[in-house]
Amino acid sequence: MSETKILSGRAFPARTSREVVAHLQVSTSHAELVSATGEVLTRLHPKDIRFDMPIGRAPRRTTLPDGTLFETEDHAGVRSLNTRSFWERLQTLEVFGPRLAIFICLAVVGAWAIWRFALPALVSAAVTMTPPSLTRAMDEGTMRTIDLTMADPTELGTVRQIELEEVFKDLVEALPEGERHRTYQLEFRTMPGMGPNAFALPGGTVVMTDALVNGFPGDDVVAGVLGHELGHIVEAHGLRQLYRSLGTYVLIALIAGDTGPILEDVLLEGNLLLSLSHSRTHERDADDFGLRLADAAGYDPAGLLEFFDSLPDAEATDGSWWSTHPPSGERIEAIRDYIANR
Amino acid sequence: MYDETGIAPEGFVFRGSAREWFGIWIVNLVLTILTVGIYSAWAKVRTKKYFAQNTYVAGRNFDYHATGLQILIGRIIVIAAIIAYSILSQIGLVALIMLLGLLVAVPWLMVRALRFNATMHSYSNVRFGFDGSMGGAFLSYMLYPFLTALTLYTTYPFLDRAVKRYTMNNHRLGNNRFEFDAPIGPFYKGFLTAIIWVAAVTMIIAAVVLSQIGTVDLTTIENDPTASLAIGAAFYVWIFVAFVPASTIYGAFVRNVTLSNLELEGGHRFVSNVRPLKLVWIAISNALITIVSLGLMLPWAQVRITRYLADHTTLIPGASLDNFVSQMERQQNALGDAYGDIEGIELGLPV
Repeated sequence: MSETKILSGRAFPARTSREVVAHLQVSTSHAELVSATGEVLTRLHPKDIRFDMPIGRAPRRTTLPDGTLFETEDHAGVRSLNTRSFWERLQTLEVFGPRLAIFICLAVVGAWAIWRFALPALVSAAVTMTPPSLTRAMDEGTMRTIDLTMADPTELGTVRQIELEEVFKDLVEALPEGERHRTYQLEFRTMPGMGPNAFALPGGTVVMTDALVNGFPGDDVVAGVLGHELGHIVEAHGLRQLYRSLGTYVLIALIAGDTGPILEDVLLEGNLLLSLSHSRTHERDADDFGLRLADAAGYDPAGLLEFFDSLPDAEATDGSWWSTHPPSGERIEAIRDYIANR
Repeated sequence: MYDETGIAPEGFVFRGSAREWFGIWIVNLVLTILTVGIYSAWAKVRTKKYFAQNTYVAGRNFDYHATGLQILIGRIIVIAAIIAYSILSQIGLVALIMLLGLLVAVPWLMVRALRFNATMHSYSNVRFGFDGSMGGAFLSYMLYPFLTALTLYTTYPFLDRAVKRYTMNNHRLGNNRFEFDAPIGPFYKGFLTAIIWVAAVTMIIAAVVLSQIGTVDLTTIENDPTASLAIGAAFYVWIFVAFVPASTIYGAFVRNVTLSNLELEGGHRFVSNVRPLKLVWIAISNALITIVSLGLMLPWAQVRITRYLADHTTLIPGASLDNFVSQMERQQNALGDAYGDIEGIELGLPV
C-alpha cells in the first residue's frame, strides 16, 4: 500500500462555527478526519475529497460529504492529492513574476482593441435599441431644465417664427427616407450669455437663440445652421457621446472591477470631458451633413460659410484637444472644398 | 482591554497582498477580454473569494460561495430582460404598463440581490442571511428617495438611516440577527461636515477665479472660446474637488456610526473608527496613482483601502464565536445579484 498523506488544519462541523483542530488522513483506499485528541470525526472515500478553487495563499477548503468543512494551509499537500484542476493551473499563472509581463501586454492590447472596436459597436447597438419615446422624454426634461436655469421665452415675432419653421420644414422634408419617422421640433429661446447659437437634443428638438436669428437674417445661413443641427440628430451624436461615457464606465467596472470611491466618480464625470475631444469629429460630420441637406433642400450651402466668417477671430481660434469644436478656419476650408467640388 | 465576559476585542485583519492580488487581477482581466466578457462572472467570484478569504476576525475568515455559472446565468437573464424591455417599450401602451411593472419588479429584485449576496457569504463556516420584505425595499429604495428629493435632499440623513435600518436589521449570521439603530445626530454631523467641505472648497476656488478674472478683459469673455473653456474647466475642477471628496467624508461618518451602533445577537458589538480626512487622502492618492499607472496599480489601491478599512474595524465579542449555526437556506439564483451589479448596489459585509 502507498503512504498515507496527512493534511493538518482545522474543521468546522456541518453548519456550525465551532472550530476543531483536526487533520485529514488520506490513503489510496480510505480517508478520515481526526481531531487533535485522536477522535475520528468522519470517514470518507478519498475520491469524495474535492477542494474549492485555490486563490493566492488563502487556506484551501473542502466540504466533506457529511457537511463538515475542513481547512488547511498545506498547499503542497492538497496539490499532491488531486490531479491538477483548471484552477490549480490558473493559480500557477497568477504568481507574481516576470511571466506576468505577458499578461500586462495582453491586457494593454486587449483594452486598446475594446476601446477601438468593441465600444463603438456597443454604442451603435445601444443607439438602435433606444426607443424614440425615451429620447423624446429626455428632450422634454432637458428643455424644462434649460427654461428653469438659463433661457427666457423668445422675443421673436410670430411672422418671423413661421418663416423660420418653413425653412426647418424644407430641411426635414429633404432628409433621407429612413430618417423622417422622428418628430422634429424647432424651439426659439432668448439665452443671454450664449450669443448667436443653436443646439440639438437627441429626441429631435432643435433650439435657436434669438441672437442667432437677429444676427443672421438670411434663410441660407439659417438653413446651414439648422442642417448642421439636424445632422447631430440623425447621426445620434448626442446619444453616442452619452453611451460612450456610460459604456466606458460600465466596461471598466466589468473588466477591472471596483475602482473605489473618488476614482469611480472621476471615471463617470471624466469620461464626459474626454468625450469632448471625440465630439470634434462629430462637428465635422454634422457640417458635412448640413451642407448636403441645405443643398438638397434648395438653399445656398455658402450660408454656413457666412456664419463662420462672421465669428470673431475665426482663424485665431486654437484647436486644443479639449475644445468641443474644431478650429473654425479648418471648418471653413472644408465648406469651401464642398462648394467647389459640388 | 477586556469586557465583562472576559473576551478580548478582535480587530478585523486583511491578509491579502498587493503583489498576489495583482497576479490574480491581471489574469482575470485578460481572460475576461479573451472570452468577450463571459469569464467576468468567474473573475467576480475569484475577486469576491480573494477579499473574503483574506479577511480575518479572531483568526477565522470569511468566504464567498457563489459559482461563476450562477453569476453568468443571472447576468444573461438581466441583459435579455433589458433588451426585451427596450424593444417592447417602443410600443406606447406596453411601455406604460411596464413602467408600472417596474414599481413591483425593482423592490423584488432588490430583495433578491440582498438575499443572494448575504447567503453567498459566510464567516467561520456559517452563512449570512437576509429576511427583508418587498414592502421594506419599496419604502427604502423608491418611496423614501422620492420624498427626500421633495425636501431638496435636506433630509438625506434620514433616508440614509432608514436604508441602513432596513438592510442591517434584516441581516443575520446563521440564526443570529443583526440589530441596528442610531440617533439622527451623528448622521447630520457627517452631512454638515460634508457641506462645510463643499463651502470651504467653493470659496477657495471662487477666490482663485476672481483673482484671475481681474487680469482678463470682461467684455471679450463672451466671444473668447478659450475663456469660456477655462470657465468650463474650473466648473469641472469644482465638481471633483468639492463634491466628490464630500461624499467620501459623509460616507466615512456614516460607516462609523452604522457599525458602532450595530449589534449581532449574542452581545457581539462592532467599532468603526475610520478618519474621514484620512479616507479622502487614501481615495484621492489611490485615484491619482491608478490613473498615472494606466490602471496597473489598481490592485495595489484596492488592497490599500481594504486594509485601511479592516484596520479600523473591530469586533467586540459578547460570547464565544463557536456558537453560530447556519440556517437551512432555500436554493438561490443570481438573478437579483446580477441586477445589483448593474445598478451598482453596494451591500453586505461590514468590511
